[in-house]
Amino acid sequence: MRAQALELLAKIAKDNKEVVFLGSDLGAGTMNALRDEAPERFFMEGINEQNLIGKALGLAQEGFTVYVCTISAFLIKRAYEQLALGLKDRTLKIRLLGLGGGFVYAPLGPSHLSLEDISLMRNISSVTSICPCDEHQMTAVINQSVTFPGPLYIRFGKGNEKSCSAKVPFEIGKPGLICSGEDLLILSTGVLTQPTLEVVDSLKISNIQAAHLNVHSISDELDSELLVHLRKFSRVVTIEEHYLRGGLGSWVSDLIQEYELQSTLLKCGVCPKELKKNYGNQHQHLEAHGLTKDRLVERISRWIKH
Amino acid sequence: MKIAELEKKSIEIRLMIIDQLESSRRGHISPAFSIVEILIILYHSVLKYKPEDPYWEERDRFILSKGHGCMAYYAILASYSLMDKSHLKEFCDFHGSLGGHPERDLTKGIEASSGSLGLGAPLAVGVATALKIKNTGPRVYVLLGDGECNEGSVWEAFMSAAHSRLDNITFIIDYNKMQSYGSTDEVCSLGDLKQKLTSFGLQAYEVDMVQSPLDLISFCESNHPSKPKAIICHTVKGMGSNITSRNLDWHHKRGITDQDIKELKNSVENPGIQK
Repeated sequence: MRAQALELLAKIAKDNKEVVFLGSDLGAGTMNALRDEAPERFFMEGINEQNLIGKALGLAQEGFTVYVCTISAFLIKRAYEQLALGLKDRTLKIRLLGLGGGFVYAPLGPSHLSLEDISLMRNISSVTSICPCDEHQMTAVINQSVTFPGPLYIRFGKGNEKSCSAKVPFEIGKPGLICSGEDLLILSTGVLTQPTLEVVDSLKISNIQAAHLNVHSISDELDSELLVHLRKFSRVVTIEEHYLRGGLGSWVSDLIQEYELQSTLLKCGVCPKELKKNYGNQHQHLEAHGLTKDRLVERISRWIKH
Repeated sequence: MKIAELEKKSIEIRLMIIDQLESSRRGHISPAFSIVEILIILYHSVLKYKPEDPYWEERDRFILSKGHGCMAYYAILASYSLMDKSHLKEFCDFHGSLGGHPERDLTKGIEASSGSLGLGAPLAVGVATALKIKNTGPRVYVLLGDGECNEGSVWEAFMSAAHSRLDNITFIIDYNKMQSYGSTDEVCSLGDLKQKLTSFGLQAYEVDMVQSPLDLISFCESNHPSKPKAIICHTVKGMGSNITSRNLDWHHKRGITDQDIKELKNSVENPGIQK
């Protein structure tokens, strides 16, 4: 996902003179194509997130479309104050590219996990966070990001995700209805969208017809996009590779409460108190937190029978 | 600009700062007083700008990173016709447009928002970088506090500016030797600041803003290809009034009375600047 996205961005940047790229000591060879073609718009900064974000804000203030790329954990948390203050200006075309959302960097330990990033960005009201589920969506996001007005946070997965969204048109801000169903509504975001497809198929076998809405774009400005769907269901499930507080599940919970919807909600995500001390890989952590297909099917089936 | 002109203008600006206090009854007075001469020199003799066209692309960019000095900044902008004077009475008012730290508003000549110390320096690096990409002539001047130089982000910005050879940026440091709790030596010593700046790759100068303030002009105008500049301005905290000068009580004061206002005005109009 990362390699393709950056390759596409380099191509776009070559022809779009208002596009600037800032990285923070990324891997050797990253964006060489842009570095060679347009060195005046390519900046590989050091390991200095405060400078990185500040510099990006200054460039955006002067009218550039600025892509800032580093590991999600550091990109969002290290200089969060600067993001919160700087992005009050909704006109700034900053695109934060966060590598390794969720458990991608599990082998490297807790410092590299990014499980509260959506929550933090939800609280900067000008920002639309986007969690692409596969390379098809990532390509669409990068293409659409060039002209999108306002700040974006794009959460990168690991890469090599199975394609699962090609049949659903992608537009930033509009959730994609992957399939209809009458018994419950499942909302997924990011790379857990693919296992959610499998969950929906498994539930069908038990005669449970679930509608599946892929919510790739998250921002409280998009409340109306979710409400259209939420109003139709009395049972709602959210699935995300994120803490239970503040992300997609919280957003849906907030809407149910604020609009007094007659829905019960099952949030599937990561409980911070139960965060494992293990290393291993992303899949193992998803399994441990009940976010793989079999565990989700079991949990949803049990819940829906109550 | 001549010294007599600077001295007269300084009194005018300090009185305009006190006018703001009359409305708000609170503010960072000493941090504002110590940058008055710096701002006058910049806006009178150094910066390129057009009051009638605040969006002029060729304007120099001035960023007040030590945002709590903003009362001086607002007074300067009003005095040099970038902002309507009537706004000064709104300082800190709920319905007013001028707060205790500046927010970007080019219609008033305010180039950047600030308030959280340390953030203006990297922002200025970004602005300077943008101007380089556009290959245009405007320069960037960013005014930092000495206490503000405790922040790591300032040094990240210095490193970045030097590494990128940004010779269109000048960092000006209001070195008044005091911060909120005490002297800079007591709280977080800057050591040999000029040496530090030089070792970070900046072309560093020092100006005695009490004895020879007009030297600031020539340092601002000097050119060093491929190197950012830093100018350490040796000022006095609360300069221009024997009430506020070197007095920690006036770093930020609330509950300012009519008597305070009267005494401040009198002390400014009859200056006894501490040397």
